Amino acid sequence: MTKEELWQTVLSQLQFKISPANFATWLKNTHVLTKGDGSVVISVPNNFSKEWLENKYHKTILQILRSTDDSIKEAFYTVERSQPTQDPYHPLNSMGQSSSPQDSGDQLELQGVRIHKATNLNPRYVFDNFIVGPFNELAHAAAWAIVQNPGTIYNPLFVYGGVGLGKTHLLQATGNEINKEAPEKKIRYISSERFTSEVVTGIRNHTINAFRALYRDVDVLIIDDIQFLAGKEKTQEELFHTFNALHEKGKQVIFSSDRPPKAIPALEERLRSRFEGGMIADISLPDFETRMAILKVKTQERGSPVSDEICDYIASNIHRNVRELEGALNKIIAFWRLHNREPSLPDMKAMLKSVINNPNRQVTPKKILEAVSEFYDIKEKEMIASSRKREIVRPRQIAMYLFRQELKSSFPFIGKKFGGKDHTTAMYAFERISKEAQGSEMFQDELSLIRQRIYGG
Amino acid sequence: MNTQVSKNNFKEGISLTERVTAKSSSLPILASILLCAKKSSLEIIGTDLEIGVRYRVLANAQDEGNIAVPAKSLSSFISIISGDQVFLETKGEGLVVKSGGFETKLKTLSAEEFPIIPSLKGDEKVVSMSARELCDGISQVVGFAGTMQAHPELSGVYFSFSGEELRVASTDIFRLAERIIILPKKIAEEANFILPQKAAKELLSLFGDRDGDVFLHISSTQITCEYNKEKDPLVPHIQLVSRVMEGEFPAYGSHIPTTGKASFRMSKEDALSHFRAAGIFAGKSNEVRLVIRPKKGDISVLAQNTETGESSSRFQGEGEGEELRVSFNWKFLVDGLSQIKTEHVDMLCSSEEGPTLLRPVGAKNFFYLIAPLRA
Repeated sequence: MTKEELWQTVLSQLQFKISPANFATWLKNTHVLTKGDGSVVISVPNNFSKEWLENKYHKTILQILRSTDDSIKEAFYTVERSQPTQDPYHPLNSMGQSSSPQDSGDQLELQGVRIHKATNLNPRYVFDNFIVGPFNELAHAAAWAIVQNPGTIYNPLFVYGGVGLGKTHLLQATGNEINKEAPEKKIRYISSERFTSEVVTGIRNHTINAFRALYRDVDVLIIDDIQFLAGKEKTQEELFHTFNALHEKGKQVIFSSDRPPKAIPALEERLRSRFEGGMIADISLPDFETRMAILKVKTQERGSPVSDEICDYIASNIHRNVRELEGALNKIIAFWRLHNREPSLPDMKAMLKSVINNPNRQVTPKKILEAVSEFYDIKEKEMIASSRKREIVRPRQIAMYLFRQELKSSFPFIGKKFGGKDHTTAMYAFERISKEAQGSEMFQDELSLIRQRIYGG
Repeated sequence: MNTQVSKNNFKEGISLTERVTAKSSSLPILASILLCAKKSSLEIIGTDLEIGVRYRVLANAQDEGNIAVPAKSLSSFISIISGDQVFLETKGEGLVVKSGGFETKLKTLSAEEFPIIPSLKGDEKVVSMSARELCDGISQVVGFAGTMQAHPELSGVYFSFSGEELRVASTDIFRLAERIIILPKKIAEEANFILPQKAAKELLSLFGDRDGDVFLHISSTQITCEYNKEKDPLVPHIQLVSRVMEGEFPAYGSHIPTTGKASFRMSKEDALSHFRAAGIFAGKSNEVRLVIRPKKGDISVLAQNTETGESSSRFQGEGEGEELRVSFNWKFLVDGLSQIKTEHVDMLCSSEEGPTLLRPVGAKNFFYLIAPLRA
């Protein structure tokens, strides 16, 4: 007889011996926890039930138990700390239930309070509010496939894309969704910065073994913004071993970065090849239609609808990242709150003037140099000097190419700007990079990531 | 049973236990309190199956016995009648209550049906501290517990014992308050639990005004707070038993800002009156806008509303950092400031959309963290 059958027998007989009210009050949510060695442990929901069963029904319960199974000699009661029945990750549960004095949706939340302690995930990020378009379709589909079958198909998943395009949202939504589907799985989300600081703390306090145990025991490990590991050798080494341990056991690993693995400077080759070993998916800039969709959904959500005309205006003028779209959106909402009406197109133009004509958005030679040197992790000076080292020459050529492309600079000007080189050097660089860009999609991606940095300001 | 008890003691016991009784259609006896007459004591017990309260005072019994009495009618009756002594005697199915010239017979229920309040097992961790200090600390944070069903772990007061400190904290995701209480002696083992908000409030009304120490008996599923552990017959012996909340309280420590765009030191009364005044003109979202100008040493408080009009006022203080415009729900500001006991308050704003920290000047044992309204 199983534990369940045994308890059912007890309940079925007990119900006739005590009043229905008492039966419902004291035997609700009880079950047999363990059985064996002549004793039975009965789980009860709280101490009141425990006292009541021990003091009032113990004889009857034991009698029924014995008559059902004569090997049973004793019965014990224990209060089990149950998991909350409500699933805090379900979007419906985290919405609209706050009965705090005000619920306008403008009240910001304290950071960290809602973050799940074990998984480190923020339940606000879910798939329901992730907008899918051609620019992120692949990454989204890969993430969904992982939710269905963690650890089997795309392992690791490497998502890359520029700032403010939804990498973190996608990663956290994946974690939250897996947690919802399979709550028993141990999930851990961490930014690479925190990962690094934990490695450092581990080394300093001699707790590195505890650190390793923690990370090698998870079912899904999600590390955000992995590009910050560039140059941090010890952390890379820890990650490498952690990754191997997890991958061997068929545990899912997900990374994000602002650029493809190849373009992360100062990254150990063995780690790079592992990043590339699974699925690499990019998130690029949202197209016009998606930007429209995002605006529509968000304005609806926040209860400040605007006309197509205005959405059209915003979507066609802000195209670099989603965060800026949100900025524009906040302006609309502020307008609604102040004037209690929808902004007209001239209002909107006035409000967005600063965003759209921001001087920071103007491309300058300085910005290109900054972006390129930062991207390839070299010094600006080196690029301008006459070094012929391979790792300098290529970024220099790319910078020259971008000068020509983005600034429409003349070749002699470019030559002069890069340490007084001949205009033919600039011409050669431009042609070479153009050719390469036509040939390789990977390289095009790289260029577009650099462009995002230039324009992202 | 047949016993005699001081009316003041009896009245206090009834009113404290009545607070935790419950209306329940499946278990109507929860609306009653249980009277247990022993030879030299009377124990009064109330429970709603989440919290239980026992209150024991000196009494003189001819006959021992237990009986359950509907709490409402007993407490109403006791609060009206005169006399210094109350005589309680069971007669048939009823309980006769006599005091002064008053006499009444109340309907009763069998004591056998009354729930059993879980008793101490002896293996709990025990911590003792001054009743007043504990209640003082809890009262500063208890109001900020949340009510979100999705986050049951936030609907209580978090207790965390470590070394010589007890930290009590609560949050509703929009604000968070923490108070540190210094323990009389270092505790051997760390302990933490979440006490349901209702139990925390009961704790205040039971022990808030009492001299001497309370003992907290901590187990993994239950907390018992005991007053007058030595059972001195001259003061009541009181026990509050509560379940602890499931779930884990967020690790908020790493989210408290230490630096920010602007900081400002101001008079608490000034700030309160300006925020309240602006609050009258705040709209539905309770929004007031602060313009903090550290260089000039002042804060402007602005509010406007299409129906009632607008308000703009200014008060002085000392500041550091840059000019900052930030909006708050004025009620949240006032709630937090009201819990600060010192004359001056330090405000640290991390950014326009980041949390703001309020701290008493000259006391390090309390802080209040508040999230602003979206700019």
